[in-house]
Amino acid sequence: MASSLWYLYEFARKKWIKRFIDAKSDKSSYIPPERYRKIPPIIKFPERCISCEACKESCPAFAIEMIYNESYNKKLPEIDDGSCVACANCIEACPTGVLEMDKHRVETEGLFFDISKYNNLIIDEEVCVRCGNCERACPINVIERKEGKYVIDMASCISCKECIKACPIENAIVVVDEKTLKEKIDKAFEIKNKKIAGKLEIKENAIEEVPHIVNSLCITCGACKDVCVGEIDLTEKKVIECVRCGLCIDVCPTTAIRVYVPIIPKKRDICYVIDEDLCIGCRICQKVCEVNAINISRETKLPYIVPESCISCGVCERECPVGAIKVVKPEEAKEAVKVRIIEDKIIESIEADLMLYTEKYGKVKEEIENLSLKKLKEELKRRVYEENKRIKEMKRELYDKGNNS
Amino acid sequence: MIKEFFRKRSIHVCVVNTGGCNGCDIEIVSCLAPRYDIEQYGIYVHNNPREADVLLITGPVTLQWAERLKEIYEKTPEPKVVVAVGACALSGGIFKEGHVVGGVHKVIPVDAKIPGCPPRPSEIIEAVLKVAPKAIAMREKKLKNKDE
Ligand code: SF4
Ligand code: SF4
Ligand code: SF4
Repeated sequence: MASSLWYLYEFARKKWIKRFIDAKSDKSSYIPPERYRKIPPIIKFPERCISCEACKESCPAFAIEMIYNESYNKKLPEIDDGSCVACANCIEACPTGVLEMDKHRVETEGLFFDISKYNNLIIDEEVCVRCGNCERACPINVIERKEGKYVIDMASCISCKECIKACPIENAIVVVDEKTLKEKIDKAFEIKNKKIAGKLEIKENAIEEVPHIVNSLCITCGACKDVCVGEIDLTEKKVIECVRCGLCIDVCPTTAIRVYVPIIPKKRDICYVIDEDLCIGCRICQKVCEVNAINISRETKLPYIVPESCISCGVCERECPVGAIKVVKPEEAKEAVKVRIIEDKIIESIEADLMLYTEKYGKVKEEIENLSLKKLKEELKRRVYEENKRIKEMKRELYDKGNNS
Repeated sequence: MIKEFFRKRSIHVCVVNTGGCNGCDIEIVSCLAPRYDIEQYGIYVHNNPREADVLLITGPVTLQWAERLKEIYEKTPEPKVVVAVGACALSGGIFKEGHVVGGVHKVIPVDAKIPGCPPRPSEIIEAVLKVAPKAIAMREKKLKNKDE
């Protein structure tokens, strides 16, 4: 009884009855909801397209072709609606937000799955200390040493970020994700538009130096060139004309164009120290250290590590043939090499003094020598003169004797 | 006149899946269900080509299917309308690189194309209702002219 009453109540509810009445007239049933299979995606901002072909590569249905467009003077994607499967991969892949499928982007923003799909890892050749830890850490071996630099093969990289974990430097591996790319390119776009419209205010001398381009980081996106009021040569990777406005530094997505970037070591809680009892003095460690943190002690002629310069990359420990290099706390390391550093300083200062003295001594010696030479000559002259005198006298005596007899 | 009127009210459909993933077929099936209720528009699904006016073709047409599809097309009595449903039937869709002919239009003439992967049931109904009666009427006229 109670249950039938409940059913009666349930069915008599307005919502239910309304549903039956509206069954065929309810608009919501045939108006497609937002983000619902709207095909094909539209090319909303063609002027923003950088012809990167990311959309083409991401399309599982091969629906996109890059076709040269005369009015934009670049290749634009053309989407075949017969093939499009409305997966929206292209929209998510596009770094500059050219494509749109209804309100796709707006809807996903801020949601938990709104994470970058693409992370590009690039090694900063200026900051990298060439320790090779990343090469060893890479699970799929796509990091290689080429001409003394470590390079990540971007096409094969799976963005696992193991190399970043292994890298002893905070900022040696730059991560460029879609979001930063989009942000920076948007910014560049804005500034470029302002520049074209003549509304751009330029603060000259905003930065101290003329920036330079780091070759390995530059992805040739052209953002800097777009905003620059001077001239940048991207094929040569050089800044030719510069008013030092700093705009290019703001828009570069990979921080490739810059004035100066310091090396920031990650690990400050460990340091390395050389055990002098084990060290055989081969000096391999000194050769492999890229930051010149290893000095040779003048007292013992053995190498020691300067904790202030050491970036804790561990190359020396790995390369040492007798395993004489140990990991210790930085304080201990400082303590251990304190004596050597002081010794070196003293010896250095003494040597400097000695140098000074020897220099001075040399001068004095020269003077003495010069002096004695003069005297010698005088003496010689005197002696020769005296001898001559004696001979003359002898001759005269002889002569006198002859005359007398 | 009368014939035309009834044509509008009774369209017989034969669904042919030529090797697709079944997504489009499911959308077609949902047309039969109460929510879209295809029969209220006078569309009947028979799945018998000999009775059909409209061939609703899904799938990318696999190599084996090409001949069969032609046979089915020939079996359907004139006047007939072919509607390609879904991305696969239009161009091969995601199967483009597989062992497929790639698109129904490469095998038989197509009257209507419904893009989407899969298209919405309402779109399918809309397309059939919009295209079928007119196309059939036109065909009929042509046939008549031929006879005369
Ligand atoms: S939505 Fe998917 S199928 Fe359609 S063009 Fe973009 S990537 Fe290709
Ligand atoms: S992904 Fe975006 S920027 Fe790249 S080619 Fe396609 S539309 Fe252009
Ligand atoms: S410093 Fe970092 S990027 Fe450079 S070689 Fe070492 S681990 Fe690799």
